Amino acid sequence: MKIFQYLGQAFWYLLFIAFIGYFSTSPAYTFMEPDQALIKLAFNHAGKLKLPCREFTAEELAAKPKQMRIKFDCPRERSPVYVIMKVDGKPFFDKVISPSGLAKDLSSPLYERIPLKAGQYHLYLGMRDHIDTEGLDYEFEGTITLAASQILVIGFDSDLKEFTFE
Amino acid sequence: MITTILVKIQKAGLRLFQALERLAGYVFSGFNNPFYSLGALAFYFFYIIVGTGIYLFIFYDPSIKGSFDTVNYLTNDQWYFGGIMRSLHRYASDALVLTMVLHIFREFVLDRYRGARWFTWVTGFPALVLIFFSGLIGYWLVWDTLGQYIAVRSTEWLDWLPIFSEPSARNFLTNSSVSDLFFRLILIGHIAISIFLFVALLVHVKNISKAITNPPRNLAVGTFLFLLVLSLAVPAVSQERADLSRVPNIINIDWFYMFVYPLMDHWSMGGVWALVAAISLLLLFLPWLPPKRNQPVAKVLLEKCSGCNLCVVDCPYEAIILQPRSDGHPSYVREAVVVADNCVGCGICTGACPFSRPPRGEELLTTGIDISTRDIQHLYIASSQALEALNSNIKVLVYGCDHGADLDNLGIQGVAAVSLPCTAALPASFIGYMLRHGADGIFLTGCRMGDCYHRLGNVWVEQRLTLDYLYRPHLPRWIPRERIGHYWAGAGDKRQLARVIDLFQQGLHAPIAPAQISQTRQTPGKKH
Repeated sequence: MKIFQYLGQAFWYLLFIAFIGYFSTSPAYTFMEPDQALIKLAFNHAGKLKLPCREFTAEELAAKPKQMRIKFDCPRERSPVYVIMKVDGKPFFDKVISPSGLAKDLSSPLYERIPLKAGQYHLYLGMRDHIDTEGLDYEFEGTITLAASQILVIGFDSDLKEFTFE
Repeated sequence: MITTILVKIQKAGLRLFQALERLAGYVFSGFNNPFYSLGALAFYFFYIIVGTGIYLFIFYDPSIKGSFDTVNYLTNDQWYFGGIMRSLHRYASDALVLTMVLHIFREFVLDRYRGARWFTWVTGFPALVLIFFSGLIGYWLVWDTLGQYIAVRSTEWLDWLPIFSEPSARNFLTNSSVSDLFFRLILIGHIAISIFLFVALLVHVKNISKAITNPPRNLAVGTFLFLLVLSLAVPAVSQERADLSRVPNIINIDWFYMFVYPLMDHWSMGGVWALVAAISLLLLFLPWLPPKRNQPVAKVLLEKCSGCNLCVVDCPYEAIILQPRSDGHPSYVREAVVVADNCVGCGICTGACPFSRPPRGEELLTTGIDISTRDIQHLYIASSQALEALNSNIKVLVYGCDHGADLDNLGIQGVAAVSLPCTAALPASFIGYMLRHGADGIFLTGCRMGDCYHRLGNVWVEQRLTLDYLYRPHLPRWIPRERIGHYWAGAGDKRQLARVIDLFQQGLHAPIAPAQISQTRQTPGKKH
C-alpha cells in the first residue's frame, strides 16, 4: 500500500513542477509584432526663461532689506517646450511639456514611445522652447527608414540646437 | 457590497481548498499535507533561493558584457552544477510566489487574518512586495531580452508617477546609456532586498509562537527532489542578449512575476497603477472588511496563578507573558499577564492551567486563566447537561471545536457533543471526571491534524493524552485509554467523524465499570 502512497505523492509533485515549469516561461508573450519598429522620442531640453531680467526700480530696492538689494530681478521660471511630430504628413504627436521642478525652473523632459510598422516614412519634427515664439524654433524634415524590430531614438542636442537620430 | 463579495469568495475558496486538501490527504498524512505547510514551504523556497544565489554570486560579473556571459557560462559550460543552481534559483523563486499566493488565499478563506491576527496578515504585505521587487530585479541581472523588456517597461511604468524630474526609462535608451556601474548597483539592490525580505519574514511571524518556518522533512525532500528533476529536464536558459537598439518582439515571460506587464500594453500605465494600488489596499485593509467582532480575551485570576509558565508555553499567539508578582504572594515569584492585543480567545491557556480541574465541592468553578464568556464553569455545566440529556446504555461525550467538523446533530444515539473555541481548551482532568460521572467514553475531535485553526491545539491535545511527564497537564495513567477516542476532522468531514464516533461507541461494548475508573493514582512513570 505504501507504494500507492508514494505514487500518489509523486503525482502531486509532478503537478507542482509541471505548473511551475510551464508558467515560468509560457505562454510566450508578443510584446510587439515582428514587423513593427519603435520610435522613442526622448530628450531633456530646457525651455528659455519665460521672462527676461528687469531692473528693480529705486522704490522696490528701498523696500528690500539691505542684504537683498540686487540690481536685477531674473525670474527662474522657464517656458514650456512644445513638440510636434508628423509622419507622412499626419500629426502623430503633439504635446506641451512643462518644465520640471517646484519653481518650474528645470528642463522639460520628454519620453514617448511611438510604434510604427517597418518601412520608409517622411518625418517632420518641430519644437518651440519659448512662449513668445510665433511658429517653431527648431524643425526637421526628412525621410527615415525603419527596419523590423528597430528602435530609433530621436533626441535633441541642446548645444547644437538640432534633432539627433540614434 | 464588498463584504458580500468577499464572503462569497471565501465560501467558494473554502470548498475548493477542502476538496484539494482531502485529495492530497489520501497520500500525504497529517502535517505532510502540502496545503497545511504553505507558509513553511515559502520559507523553504526562500532558503533554496539564498543558497543557490550565493553560488551564482561567486561567478557573476556585474558588467554589461559580463552579466550575460557569466550567466550563460554557468548555464551551458557548467550545466552539471552551475546550470542546475541557476535553474533551482529560478524555479524556487516561482515556487515561492505560488506557495505565497496559495498561503494568502488559504488564510483568507479560513478566516485566519482578522482580529488579533491582523498584525501577521498586514506584516506579510511588505514581504510580498519585496519578493516581487527582488524577483524582477533578478531578471535584469541576466541582461537578456527578457531583462531588457523588464528593465524598460518597469522604468516606463515607474515614470508614470510624478516622482522623478527626468524619466528613468531614459537610462535604457541606447546600448551606450547602460554602464557597468548600473549592474553593480542592481546586484547590490538584489542582495539588499533579499536581506530586507528575511527581516520582513521574521517580523511576519513575530506574533506567532513556535512559528513553523521549516516544512516537514518528507515535504522538504520531495519538493527539492522534484525541483531538481525540473531543473534537469527543463533547465532555465537565457533568451537573446539584450540589445537596446532592437525591440524584443516575442518574449517568454515568467508569469509568476510578470503577470501585470502585458496589461501595460493594453491599458494605460495609470490603469495598471490603479489595479496594483487597489489590490494592495484591499490586502492591507482586508482584516477590517469587516472587522472581527470583539473577541473575549483571556483573564488571569491571580489567586489561582502560580506563574508556572504552562499557559505561556502553550499559547500559540505570544499572548501571555510572565511578569514579577504584583500581589506580594509569599511563595510565587511571577504571574501570567495577558497581552490583550494578541489574544484570540482560543482558551488553550485554560486547558494548560494546572488549576483547571473539575469541582471539588466549590460552588463556582474557577481557574488561573480563563475566557470570560466561555469559562471553565460554562464548560462544566455544558458537559454535565449534555451527559444528563443522554438516555442510552453506552454514553459518549464528544469534545470538539468551533472550527472542525460540525458537531450539531451527529445523529448517533447516546452521543452528545460540547464545542469549545479550541479542543485544547479542554483541561485533561475533565476527561477522567466525566468518565467517573456518567460518561462511558470520551471522544475528542477538532481540526485536521496539522491544520488547527489555532495552530497547535490538536498537537497539545495529543501530547496531553500521551505525555508521560508531569510538567505539562496530562491525562493520568489510571484513566483507561480504551475509553478515549480521537479523530481530527476538518470543517467538511462531519460524515466521516460520525462514522468514527459510531465505531468507537460500538467498540466500548459495555458501560464503564467503577473498577475501571478507580481514583487510585499510580506514580507517574510506573506502569499498571
